[in-house]
Amino acid sequence: MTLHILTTAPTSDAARQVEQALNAGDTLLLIEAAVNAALNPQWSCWTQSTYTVLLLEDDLVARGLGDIAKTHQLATVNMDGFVALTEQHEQSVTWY
Amino acid sequence: MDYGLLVMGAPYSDPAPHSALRFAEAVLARGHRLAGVFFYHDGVHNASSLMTPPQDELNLREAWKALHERHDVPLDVCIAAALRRGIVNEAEAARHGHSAYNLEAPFELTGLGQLLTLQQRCDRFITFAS
Repeated sequence: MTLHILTTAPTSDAARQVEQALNAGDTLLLIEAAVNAALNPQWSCWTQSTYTVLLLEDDLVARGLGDIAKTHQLATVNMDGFVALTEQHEQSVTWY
Repeated sequence: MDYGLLVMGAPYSDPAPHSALRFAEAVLARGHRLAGVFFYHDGVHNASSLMTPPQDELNLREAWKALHERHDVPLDVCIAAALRRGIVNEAEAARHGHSAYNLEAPFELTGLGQLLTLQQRCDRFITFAS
């Protein structure tokens, strides 16, 4: 199980690459510009169920996207939760 | 657990240093040890002692320095990436004939070997880049 951290928008090359790299049971954490994915609930990562996708709450709120994530019932973690994810996953990869 | 962080983004133009700093604080708050922060590529600009943001904004260099002072976290800066970008300590400034320098303790100029050592001795190694 790997923790994948995406820092760029869902339309970026890095986002396309991470989708290719994700395996069943992995976790995808969206931080920085990647939280813009909350604006598109049809994004392919939201509509699959083989891996977990989470948004970093601090970055969502900083961009005024907290409410929209709630409306679409998208899962979030805070910074403490981010650290907890790194405790649970021996491997992490940052995509940028 | 022992954590190591790699910071590859420049302050004020890239969110990576802010993310790394907030993550570092959360790591320490959860009782882990931060074994080191390595600044690479444009991340070396975090070490500039000439950084002068407006007083009501976070001074990232001072924030890293405070982290070092409170938790004894080593702050290593890649020497090759730093010299290219005009981030030099007193010794390198003298060696290259510059009239000023902008890297001081607790930041240290080191090589990529230090990055590999940090990576090997940490339980978790997280990269911050955008």
